[in-house]
Amino acid sequence: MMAPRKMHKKGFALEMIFSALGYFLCVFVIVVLLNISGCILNKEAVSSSVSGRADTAASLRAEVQLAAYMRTQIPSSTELFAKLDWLKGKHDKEFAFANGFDPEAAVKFLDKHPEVYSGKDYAGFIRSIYAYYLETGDKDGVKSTFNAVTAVLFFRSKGDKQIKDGHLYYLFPVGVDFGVLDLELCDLGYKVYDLCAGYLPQQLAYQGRTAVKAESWVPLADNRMARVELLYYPEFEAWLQGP
Amino acid sequence: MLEKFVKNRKGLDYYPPLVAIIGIFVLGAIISMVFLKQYPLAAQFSLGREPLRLFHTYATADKALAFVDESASIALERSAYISGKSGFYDSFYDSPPSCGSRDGLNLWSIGSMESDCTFPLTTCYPGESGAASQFKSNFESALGELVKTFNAKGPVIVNGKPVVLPDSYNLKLQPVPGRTEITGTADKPLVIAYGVTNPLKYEVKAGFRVDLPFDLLTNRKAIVDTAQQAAGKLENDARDVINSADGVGGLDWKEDFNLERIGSICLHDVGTCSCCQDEQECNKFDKDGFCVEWGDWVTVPAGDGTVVEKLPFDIITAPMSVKVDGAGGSHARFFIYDDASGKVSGRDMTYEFSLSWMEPHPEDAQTACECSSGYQC
Repeated sequence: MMAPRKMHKKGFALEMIFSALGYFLCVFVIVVLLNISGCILNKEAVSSSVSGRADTAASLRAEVQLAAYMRTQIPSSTELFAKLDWLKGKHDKEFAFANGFDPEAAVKFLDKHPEVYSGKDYAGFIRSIYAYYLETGDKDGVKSTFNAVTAVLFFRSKGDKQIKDGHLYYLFPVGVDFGVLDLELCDLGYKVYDLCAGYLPQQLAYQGRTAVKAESWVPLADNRMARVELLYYPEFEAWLQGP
Repeated sequence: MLEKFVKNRKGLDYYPPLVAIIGIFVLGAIISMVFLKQYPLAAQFSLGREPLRLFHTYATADKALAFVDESASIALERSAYISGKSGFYDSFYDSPPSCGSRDGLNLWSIGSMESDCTFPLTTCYPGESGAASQFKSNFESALGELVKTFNAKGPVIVNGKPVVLPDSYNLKLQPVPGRTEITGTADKPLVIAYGVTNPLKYEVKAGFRVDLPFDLLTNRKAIVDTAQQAAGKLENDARDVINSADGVGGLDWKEDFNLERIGSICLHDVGTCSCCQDEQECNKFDKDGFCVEWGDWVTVPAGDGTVVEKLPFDIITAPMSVKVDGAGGSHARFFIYDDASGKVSGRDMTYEFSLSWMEPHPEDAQTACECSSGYQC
């Protein structure tokens, strides 16, 4: 039986060096792969990709929110009137809209003028109600209808055990400026509009009053433009979305 | 040191696990370095400056595109209304049909008295391709006005410059059953450069697809078919045709009869007719001629013993309006700007035109000889 051949000391050292080289080659390949996937960047590059101003982000959030509002389809008459019934029940007992709201006047107006909402999105509704706003014969009806439709589409609630019926209701203010200044205006606190709607609960005062404004434009039948503004409260919504 | 380690048999056995442990530590250190570097920044901000710029650019473009969409809806309603008002012809003042117009309505048929006392009917029904191209032309014009307003006001500002909407669109009127659908794609892209240093250049082609809940071109065919059946007939027969068409396909017919006469007619003894104001005027042309009063039919005995009935006035022109049913059974209603009053008002979608037919045959038509011999007609 032959004894196992003993390795020369120098051969063993060379094998060690080559295995160490192989090992560092593997590490190098891993580092290169990590670099390709973008994990290793210089501080400036990382900073520009992940750092941003909070107010810019909130402004973007508000703009996207308003764009979504404008494209929201108005529900069928059955659904619309069912939700209006719900609003009538809650109105004054638990909340009151900015700019006043007469549910009966809104129902009467919508019943008489289905063309303002039938098959339209929110932007279409705004350009349709413009004609009746100009007529001014039924101003309460127009104002209440704007409040009612805006509320039906965008009213939100959040479960809150501290409140009597367990829900905190809110409607971020929406203002419409037709540029018709000789008519009765509506006040959202810091600015006046032709039409506006909104309901902000008391809790807003404690959770952040900073509003971010977003604008959008709607074409009108007489080749004018209406400016629509949304007041968005990022801190308040962040609090609402919290645990 | 290493030599001593490898000389030792036990040391040789521990060599591979030792290399593995060192490797794990080195890799761990690299990964930790990478994530520790990112964490402090990522923990403070959830969204970066560059992604924000990108989203802002998208949101800005979306505002402009939403305006085009809404403008297309207004343009569609306006062009449908104009097409309906002008009986599928161009604007009344631009190019009325060859039959002419009366009381602001384009005439689809008209009768005129010939010298042989007949009343042939000239017809000017709108064709399909003409109606479609007219509709597209009206749409293009209405959309152009709204885009012009947007570009003039420049409400969307990026980098201190207003976003300019493209003003030319490739339009297609799609054949969709029960709807009038039009699609448009901008000829040029909307370009938005966002950011001051190294701005992003975002290009998007504005496009839209808008529709109305009724088929304008199918309505045209149904209305023209009915009009062809009614035109030139006696009034009662024409009424029957219209009544049978009423309500079919969501179209509500309404006629508003308006007698339009050309005056008295002088029946000449040579068997020809001419217009006259009274008997005296008629006698100037033909001493044996006689003037028939308005609203009278006359029976003229012919030489061979036959009797010829003469209608001594123009054919009736009847303004017609056909309302279109909209959603929920109510009439389709649009908000249209009136240049004259400067107001926007809600109006029913209605096709308007004028047809011609004849008054009912009287029970006892008067004979020409009675009139000519001076008896009370």
